Amino acid sequence: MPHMNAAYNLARWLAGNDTDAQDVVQEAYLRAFKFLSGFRGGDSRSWLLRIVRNAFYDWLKRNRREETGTPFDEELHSTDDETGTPDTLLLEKADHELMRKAIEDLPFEFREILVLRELEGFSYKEIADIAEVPLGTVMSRLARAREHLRTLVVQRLELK
Amino acid sequence: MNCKETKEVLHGYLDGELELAHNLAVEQHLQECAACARSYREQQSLRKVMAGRSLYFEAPKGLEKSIRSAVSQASKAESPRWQWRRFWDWPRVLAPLAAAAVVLLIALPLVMHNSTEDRLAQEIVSAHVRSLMASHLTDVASSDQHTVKPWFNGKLPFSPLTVDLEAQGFPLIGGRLDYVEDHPVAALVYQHRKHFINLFTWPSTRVSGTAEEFRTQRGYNAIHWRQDGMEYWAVSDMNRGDLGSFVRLVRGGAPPPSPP
Repeated sequence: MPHMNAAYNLARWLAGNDTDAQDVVQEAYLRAFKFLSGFRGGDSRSWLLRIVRNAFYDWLKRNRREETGTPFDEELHSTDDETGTPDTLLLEKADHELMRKAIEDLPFEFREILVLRELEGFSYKEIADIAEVPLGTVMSRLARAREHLRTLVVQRLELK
Repeated sequence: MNCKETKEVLHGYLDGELELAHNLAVEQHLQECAACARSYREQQSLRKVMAGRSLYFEAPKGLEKSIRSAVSQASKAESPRWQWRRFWDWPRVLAPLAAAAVVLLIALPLVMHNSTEDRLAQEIVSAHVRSLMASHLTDVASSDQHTVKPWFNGKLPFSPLTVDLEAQGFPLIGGRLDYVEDHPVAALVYQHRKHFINLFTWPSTRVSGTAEEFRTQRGYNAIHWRQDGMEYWAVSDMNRGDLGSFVRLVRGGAPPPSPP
């Protein structure tokens, strides 16, 4: 099966656990096979990830009506931290566990854009295609996602 | 460009998604403004940390099998008359499957190969542009190949080819660790008059060597080749001819491996 790892990686980050991620990936491949005739060439990995993403949000609507992702408290996680200590060295101390938890605590839209950009290496154009947002939104959303992540990671490192 | 404008496009700069003119404007501002330079460095570290913490979830072993069986069950369920019609109707059933197989097995790797190469070239050029930021060009600054080569020991799972080309007009000025496709790679930095050349290298997953392949990306020239099981990318703003001579020197000038 092509792109199995990419599909699972995205689903796993969005769903937050292995069982649900596997369900989402399976559903996505079923849809992909059904709509294969709708594939008009281009990058098949981004085509498939768009299906994975849609399958996830449909699954979410069915299974977790209440939850729409961790609400993000902009006040608590204020990013106007112009006076703090230099974070460059501090950030390097973030280990796997801390990074994983911090990313998992971000809202879905931030998590998915970070996965697509940092783990899959998609260009802005491809991300716009997958997430079905205007190209201009990609950069601003990525900026907010990274700022939030940085703030979360720094806060947690300082608490340590 | 002021701080507000820089803030708006900083991430495009970080991702190598800006046009050259914007790129230069951001570069200029980062050299003049300590606050923006700081947040740029922080975002760079954050990216580096993300890339270096094995955050990728690989698909579990059994998943592929269960998906295969789910797909084949679904295709049976969708055509209930398939059972009794299959004898004479097999072309109708098999044709779409065959078409799918053709798309998946033959066309996709070709399409993917091109887009992977393009993405790689983009990433390499972005890495080159990033390295030209003040103080990011080298992690170890030395014109001595016997200083630069050992510096990579323990930092990389391979030892990069390091040749001294000073006599030929391309002095080695240092080396640096960089990330390409989320893997650590060696970047050797050479200079030719006022131009810098980044020579990226990492172990190839393919065995065969290749001829040199020339590309232009965002005004930079890049030459890619594969040799002795290693991938090489030379990137510079030098003209194509000079970069070509540099590549020929690197390829020809590889001395036999010396004992550590």
